[in-house]
Amino acid sequence: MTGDDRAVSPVFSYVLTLGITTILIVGLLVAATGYVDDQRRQTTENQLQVIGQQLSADIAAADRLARTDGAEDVAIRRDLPDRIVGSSYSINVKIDGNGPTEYYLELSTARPDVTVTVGIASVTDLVTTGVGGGEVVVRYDAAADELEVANA
Amino acid sequence: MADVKARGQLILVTGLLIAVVLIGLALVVNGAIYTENLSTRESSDEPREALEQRHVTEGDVQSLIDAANRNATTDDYGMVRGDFADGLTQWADSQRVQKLLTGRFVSTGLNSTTEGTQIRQANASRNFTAGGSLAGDSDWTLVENTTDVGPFVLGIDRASLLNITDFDTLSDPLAAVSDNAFHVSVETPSGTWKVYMFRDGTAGEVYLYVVDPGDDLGALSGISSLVSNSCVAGATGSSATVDFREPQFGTDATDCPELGFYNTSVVGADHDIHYRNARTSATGLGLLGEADRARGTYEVVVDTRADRTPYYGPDADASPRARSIIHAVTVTAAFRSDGVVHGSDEIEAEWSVVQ
Repeated sequence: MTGDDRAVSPVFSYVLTLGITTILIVGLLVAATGYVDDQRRQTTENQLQVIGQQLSADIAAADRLARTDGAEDVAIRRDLPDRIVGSSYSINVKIDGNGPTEYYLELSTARPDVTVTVGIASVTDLVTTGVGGGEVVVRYDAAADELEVANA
Repeated sequence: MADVKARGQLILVTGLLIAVVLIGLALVVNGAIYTENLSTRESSDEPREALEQRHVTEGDVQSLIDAANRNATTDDYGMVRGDFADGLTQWADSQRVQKLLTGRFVSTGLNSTTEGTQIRQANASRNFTAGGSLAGDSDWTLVENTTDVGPFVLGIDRASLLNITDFDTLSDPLAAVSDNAFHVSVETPSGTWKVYMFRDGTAGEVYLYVVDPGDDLGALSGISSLVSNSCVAGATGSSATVDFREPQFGTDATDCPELGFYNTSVVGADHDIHYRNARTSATGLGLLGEADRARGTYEVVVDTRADRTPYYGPDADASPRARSIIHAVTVTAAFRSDGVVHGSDEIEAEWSVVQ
């Protein structure tokens, strides 16, 4: 009762073991990487949504303050995260008819490629600008009667 | 031995890849937790506080105007304004100290004040002729160049109004009304409105008829047409109220749309207010003799300094009298907190009587 009795050479046995192990490990890695990527995308989207809604609320508050009689100096500051899920992101104020409201926020990251739009409830016009994460200020320009989102 | 080395490398590389995946997973989980944290944070109350502070400022400045006007005993605008400015300084200091305790900075300063005049006749038995050095004048000017008017109310003794009973027997009854009925003339650059008041002594009703710019009382077909196009107050009570700002007329002050011109076309425009035919002597008209055509009380608050010539004063019981009041005020205000800055250069407050 030796290995010779089973008609299998040691070399074949090693190759078989290595092959099955490799297939299992590659399968596990592919599945885990895909899962992590999906979760990362979803988490990024959620975080962009939250940041967009908070900034939109600040713009709405600045709008209310700016529309009081005689308002000349209005600024609301907010600390937003510099990066989300390890990626930098950008916030753009847009007015091109593709958003949920006339003026809207478009938040996006390059990796993963995620874009989120959030509506803005503002009667006062906004300057269409783009800012990054970090400390953000919503400012009122009384001369132009416009709100501007800028990095502090 | 060569095979054993190869298997070791595979395990090593695999372990490294799994470690990278785990780091990625940790990053994702961390991001998710941070998102949860961010999304459940309460929104800042600071913008709301800034708006609240503004409303408090508006209300309290108005209270200060009320107090300054109420306490003014002389017809001296400098004193009224001085009292108000002192009150505002004290209030602003107390607000600043109070808000500093909560980490907020607020400041309030006086920007401008508008002098106004309160014109009032409180003696209900006096006619509507002028006082002061123009005492007895039947046709006179209450105020010139006013824009924003507060209350403008007349309480007229119904029995004093021109009685148009039997006017149809006159050859030109409308001319008799035009020449003798008391009326308020409101003169603007775009035209003059005349608000006539008269009564029917038989029916006991009193009437209010408005002649618009460009129109003429004489263009009506007769007394019946005049009456049918007037606001009517029934035969109850001894006095009739004319309220230009509401606009209402009658014993119970019911709506009188004809008076609506004052709010829609006059307030906001530069205008003069005159009384006409407060007392007339209609010689040649058998039905009429010299008599008052309006008696009672009136009050009007205007946003300018009225000429004091036709007024007595400044005693409170003098009729008619005029006294200086603060009509409106603008203040500057600022609110600063950690996240919010709100500065206003012109918060306006008016005397509560004017609103």
